[in-house]
Amino acid sequence: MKLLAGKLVLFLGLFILSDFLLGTFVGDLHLDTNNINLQNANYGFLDYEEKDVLFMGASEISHTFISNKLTKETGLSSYNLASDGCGILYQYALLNTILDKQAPKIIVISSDLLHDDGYDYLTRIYPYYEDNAHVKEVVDEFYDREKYKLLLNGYEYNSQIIRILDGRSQNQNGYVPLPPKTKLISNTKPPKLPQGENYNISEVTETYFIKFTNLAAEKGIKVYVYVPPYLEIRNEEYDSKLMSILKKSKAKIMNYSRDTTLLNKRHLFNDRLHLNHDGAEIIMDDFIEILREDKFIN
Amino acid sequence: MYINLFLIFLPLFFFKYFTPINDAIFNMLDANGMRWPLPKISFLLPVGISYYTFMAVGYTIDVHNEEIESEKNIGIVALFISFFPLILSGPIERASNMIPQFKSDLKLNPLNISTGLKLMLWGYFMKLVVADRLGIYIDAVFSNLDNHNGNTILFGTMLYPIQLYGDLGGYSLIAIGVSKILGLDVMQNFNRPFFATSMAEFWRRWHISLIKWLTDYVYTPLAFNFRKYGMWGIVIALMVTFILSGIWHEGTLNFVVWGVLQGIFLSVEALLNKRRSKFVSKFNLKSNIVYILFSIASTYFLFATSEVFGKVATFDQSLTVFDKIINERGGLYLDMTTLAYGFIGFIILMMSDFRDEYFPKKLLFFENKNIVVRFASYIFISLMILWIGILNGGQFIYFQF
Repeated sequence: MKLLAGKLVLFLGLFILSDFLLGTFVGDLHLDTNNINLQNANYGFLDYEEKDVLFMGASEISHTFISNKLTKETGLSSYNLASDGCGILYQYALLNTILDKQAPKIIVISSDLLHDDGYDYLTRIYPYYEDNAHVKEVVDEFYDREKYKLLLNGYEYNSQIIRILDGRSQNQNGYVPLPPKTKLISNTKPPKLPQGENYNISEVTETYFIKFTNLAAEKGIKVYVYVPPYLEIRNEEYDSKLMSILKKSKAKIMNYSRDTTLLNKRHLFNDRLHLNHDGAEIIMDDFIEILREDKFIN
Repeated sequence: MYINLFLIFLPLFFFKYFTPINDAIFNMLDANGMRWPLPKISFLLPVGISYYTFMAVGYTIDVHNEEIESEKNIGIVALFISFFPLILSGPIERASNMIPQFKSDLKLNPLNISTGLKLMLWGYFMKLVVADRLGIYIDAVFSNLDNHNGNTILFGTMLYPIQLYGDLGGYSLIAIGVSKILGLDVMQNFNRPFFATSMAEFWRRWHISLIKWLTDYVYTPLAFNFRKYGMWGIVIALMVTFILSGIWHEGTLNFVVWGVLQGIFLSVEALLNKRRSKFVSKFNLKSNIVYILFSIASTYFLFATSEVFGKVATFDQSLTVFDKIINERGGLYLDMTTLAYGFIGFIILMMSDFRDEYFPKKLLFFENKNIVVRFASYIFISLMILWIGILNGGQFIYFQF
């Protein structure tokens, strides 16, 4: 029995050592990764520097808001912090982290944060858990057992290794252009839109969305909520709840969900849910016009 | 014995079949303008009810058939029926194997502990790295059938048996490992099922404890009773056995169809068995790799296809699956990251099964004599679980049965 106990101790020791060494190695790779989503997370949670305009959300933001165009045409510094799939809890921790440094003038977030599960891709903030109180607060509130798993060095990179080793980088201050790809969409004019998923809005998602917009408003940040155009029909219950939440929020709505000038031009889309670069240009032109109307620029 | 069996089955019938029967009668009468006096009610199924019911039934029949003596110590019987590692999802053990062990002088033994821990480690790998990872993709497809084309659904259908194997096979190994640590030997529940070359062989390798239970307590008595019908008696026994197995899983049309399909596969094999043997001998195919691979692939395909009825919730959805697979072409939905992790786990699992199937004494890792290789393999699998396993609480599929 003593021999077995010795072997178990040896195994645990070697396991912890391997985890530590591998975790440290992968942690370094994570900081230098070329993967756009992780780069944006690293920038937001670790390296953020003062910006006038921030774009926050998931893929529908990262492929739409061309930060370099905004800076070039208006002089407002900006960064697209969106990270594919990340839900409102991720965004809330990120906003708090940014506010610790310096509040931007404007934030654009996506209404799609309200149809995603609020917990989506929360694991992407695990690498910052140890040193970031806002990350810790969100993770501890919703996953109280994660703190024990996060004692292991490797767990914070669970399921991330392929992303970390992703060698591609199209990062243009966070914006990722998409090429046109219309094959996926009906050729009829106007396009016959298919029924989308049955979206729901959970209580947690709604609560944190409101907390997010309220917090930004308290800090004097103007919040715009971007409702993207999508080539699918969404369930009415979701649509009406979405609009009622958006009206409650202290944000200005940029609603493209029924914008036929976009929906009828399939060549502006990459797929049912994402605009391509040409579509993004149109949204950016609109956004710059809105900023002009709202007196942020002349 | 019959009173005892009635009392044992009563809770199972009540919890598992009351609601579907009540709903069916309610809906039928309601459609004709009549009201069923009982309200529509739903129960939470007690976890593992099917498993401990089967163990209790087995014990009763074995005592009745004088295969074992009745146990006078009610505590031992209660322990057998409710032994915690097995109560949730088996393996469905036999009193003849377990009760003598419970009554023996059990002591913690380093070799048993070490063997048990290794089984548990591999079980967790199967569950967390293979089953739960592939489950993300499979659930994304099957929970949203309307938005996926036939190619994607076919791909999901072909992956589902792997998830099931990782899930129930993994759970079984964990249960066997925990029992081993306590000094108890529990029967094997899976024996490299994806190397089976026929459905009959597949069912000797898959969920072995359930099939053995059904063989001993349902199939064999039925086949004996129908022996005067020759081969057709066997066919009837097979059909009844697998239909009951389907209903045991869930009292729905889907699972009845699932049982019918298994019965048909096995019956056809039984009816063609002699011809197949002659064919194999004539063309010397027994060790022909192409023939073996074809047999393995076709067995897998038949099982995977039939499991559609076990995967989706309603019969209509099952029909939608097949309709889409046959008629709807399109690009394959690929969640590359999830699939990449899942396939890494699956390849490791299959390499291990391949080694055990064809070279059982070679390329040992957990059982290697060299301590460095042993420890390296334990740590490698542990790190795989930590780095690519799904560690946020996936449920075991068979808990629902």
